[in-house]
Amino acid sequence: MTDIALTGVTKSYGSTHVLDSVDLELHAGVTGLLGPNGAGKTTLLRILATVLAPTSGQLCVLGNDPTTAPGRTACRRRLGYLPQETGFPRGFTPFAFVNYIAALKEWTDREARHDEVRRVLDQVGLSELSTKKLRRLSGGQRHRAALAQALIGDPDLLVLDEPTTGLDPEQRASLRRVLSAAGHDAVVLLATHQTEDVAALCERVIVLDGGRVRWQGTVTELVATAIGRVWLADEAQPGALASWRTGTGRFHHVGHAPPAGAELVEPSVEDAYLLLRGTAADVAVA
Amino acid sequence: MAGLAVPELRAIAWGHVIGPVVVGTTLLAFTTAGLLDGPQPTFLWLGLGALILGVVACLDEPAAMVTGACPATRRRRTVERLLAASPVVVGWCVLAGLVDGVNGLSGSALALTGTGSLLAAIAAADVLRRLGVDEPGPVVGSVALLGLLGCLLFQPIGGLVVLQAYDDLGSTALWPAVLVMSIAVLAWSTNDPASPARTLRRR
Amino acid sequence: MTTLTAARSTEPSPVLVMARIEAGRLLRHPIFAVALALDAWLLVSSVMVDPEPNLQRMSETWAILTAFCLGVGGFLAMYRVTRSTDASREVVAAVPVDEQQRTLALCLVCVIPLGVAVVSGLFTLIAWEPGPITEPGFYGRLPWADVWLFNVCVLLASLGGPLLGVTLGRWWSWPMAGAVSAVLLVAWCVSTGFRTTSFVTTLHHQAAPFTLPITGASSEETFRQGGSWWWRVPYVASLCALAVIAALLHGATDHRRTLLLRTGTCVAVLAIVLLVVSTLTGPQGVLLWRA
Repeated sequence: MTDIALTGVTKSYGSTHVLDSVDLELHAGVTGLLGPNGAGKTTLLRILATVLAPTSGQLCVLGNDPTTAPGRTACRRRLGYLPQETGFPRGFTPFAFVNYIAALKEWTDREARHDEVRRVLDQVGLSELSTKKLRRLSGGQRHRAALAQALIGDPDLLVLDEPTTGLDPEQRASLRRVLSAAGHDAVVLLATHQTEDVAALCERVIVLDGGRVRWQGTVTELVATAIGRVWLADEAQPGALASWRTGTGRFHHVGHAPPAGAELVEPSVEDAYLLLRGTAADVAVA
Repeated sequence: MAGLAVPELRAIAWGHVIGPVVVGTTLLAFTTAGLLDGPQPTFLWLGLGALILGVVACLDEPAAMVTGACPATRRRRTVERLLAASPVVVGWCVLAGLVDGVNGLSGSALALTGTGSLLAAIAAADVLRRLGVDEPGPVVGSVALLGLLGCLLFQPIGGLVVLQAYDDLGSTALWPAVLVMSIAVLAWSTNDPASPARTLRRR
Repeated sequence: MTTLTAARSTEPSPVLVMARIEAGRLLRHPIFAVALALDAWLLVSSVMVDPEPNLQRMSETWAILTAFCLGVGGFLAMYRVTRSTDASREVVAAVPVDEQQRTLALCLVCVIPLGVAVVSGLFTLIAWEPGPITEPGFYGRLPWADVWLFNVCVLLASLGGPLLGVTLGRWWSWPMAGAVSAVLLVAWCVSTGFRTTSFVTTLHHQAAPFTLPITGASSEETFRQGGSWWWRVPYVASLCALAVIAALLHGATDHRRTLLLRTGTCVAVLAIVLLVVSTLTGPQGVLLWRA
């Protein structure tokens, strides 16, 4: 069953098409959304989160049409959204903020609401800091408070924009645990620049570029497109799409035509993405 | 100096400064022009309140974490920002001169009270900035406005006339003392926060 | 699938739940807390200091304190409370409780300053036990009804100020808007203290959200202002209703927007009619009182 379906969805600002005839279907599970800056990832997420209306196209989110007011309300009752940057009202603690959002999500019974707030704060590891003022917390802790509000009520659709930004490796691992558990029954769509998160967490991946879907499929399929096109060498080779000097002193290359006798290596999601993007930039890493 | 000051002046949120200053100037212009029975202390102080709101916004610095690590000292950057506030202070003194003697008003009392209020607000905003509030304008502005309105309605407070518009009322020591204290506070608050504390050396 | 769907009971309504949360935020807001403390302190000290209170002195003291502390203070505080969730705009936009419901909750919170004003008024009446007005000037020749109607208008100011703060918070995102508007509001109200000598000046006097029924530069020369307080009370009440409608209008779409616009138009027309009637009726000319 298709939980989310987009057909010909376009978002324009004047003559600029931020999203251009996007066709997508999403099901339960974790889907990664990759793309360069300005590809339209955030715009797509905002449309799915019913915060932004598309200019044209058809949209079906969890069986509801979010272009109508009742449909939007119905979507929002089953939705959790983590924007790229979440600000907090002054003076709030994590508990107060998540409690506030829970009330806005129609958790009207006080006791049940507080129990749910404590549950999600515990899920993100903020139980002990729940009564500390948000402005006194670190960036990663504030980010976890923002994530906690998205998890209220175990939503059927989780829309996350750059969820691992500012998190240390331990926190990222903890977040992956939370999201993979959520992905058992819910549709989880996360936009990220971190290809290792996609590799570790996602079943499917969508690559967005210039407002259009350039590629979509499973992570395995994406990686398969780069097999035989990633190699190591002692020197930089100008013909590669992307190359950089690694910490071992050898050069890592991604390109369409490896030279004869090249030492091929197992491609990563990042390699496949770069190949897909056809980036010709050379990145030097000391 | 102008070339160095320009980046700092560009960093001021002019919308937040000009709006209140325009409102204050309009109020003052109306009352000075003789409308509503000529210059009245109430409208002069209300206009001053709006000017204070504009002046404290000059010190709002959202990028303080970044500028604090730049070679340009905090004192120099603050002085450059206050270049934007100086026309307001000068303008108030000119206004005080214009209404001197009208309806019994004292230009010197008005000038002293207004300048003291403006400087005290600026000093308070800079202290807040030093304490980590990067945009002290709205906070200081609201507090100053409430204080001003309170004085307007309820003075004399404990026998003291705080907002002094006439020669024969109020303490002559209050606002000069506030002026001196504000300058001293500004001199302290504009020190580089990262400079090590001076230690007394025993000889 | 939601694991705790049953917890989302149908009562109480989300609006009431939000109103309760926002009420807590208002009471904890520094501006409102200071305004409440100031109101209480000044009122109690006035009651203790004045040896022979009468209804006129009680009305003036309580009226000005209430209008300033609860009206202006409430205005600033509700403006800040309304704007405080701007930082979480993206998150708040993706929740089922829509903007109109949140605005309604904020408007409901504005009854708190009104309640405080009522309590402080009762306290003043009970603690002060104002005696009959013995002075020939000031309120001495005003009908009792006018004095009490004036006090009702003061109560409405303690409601209308915060409501205006919610409206301004919804429509104007400039950070200084609240403070600058407070200056203009006070200037407007103070400007009505000049003698009403014509239709225009009486209209100006009656149109202000808060004004006094008498004015005078000194105790020897006081003036009773023109206009009818019987019609002024519903006029100020209609201003409060307009503030609520204007606040709800922000973000309203479709039939809701149409309904609000129609209702707002009707209330605005009513307000104008009431204003004109209150200006034309009441005492004709100006009565000069001498001590």
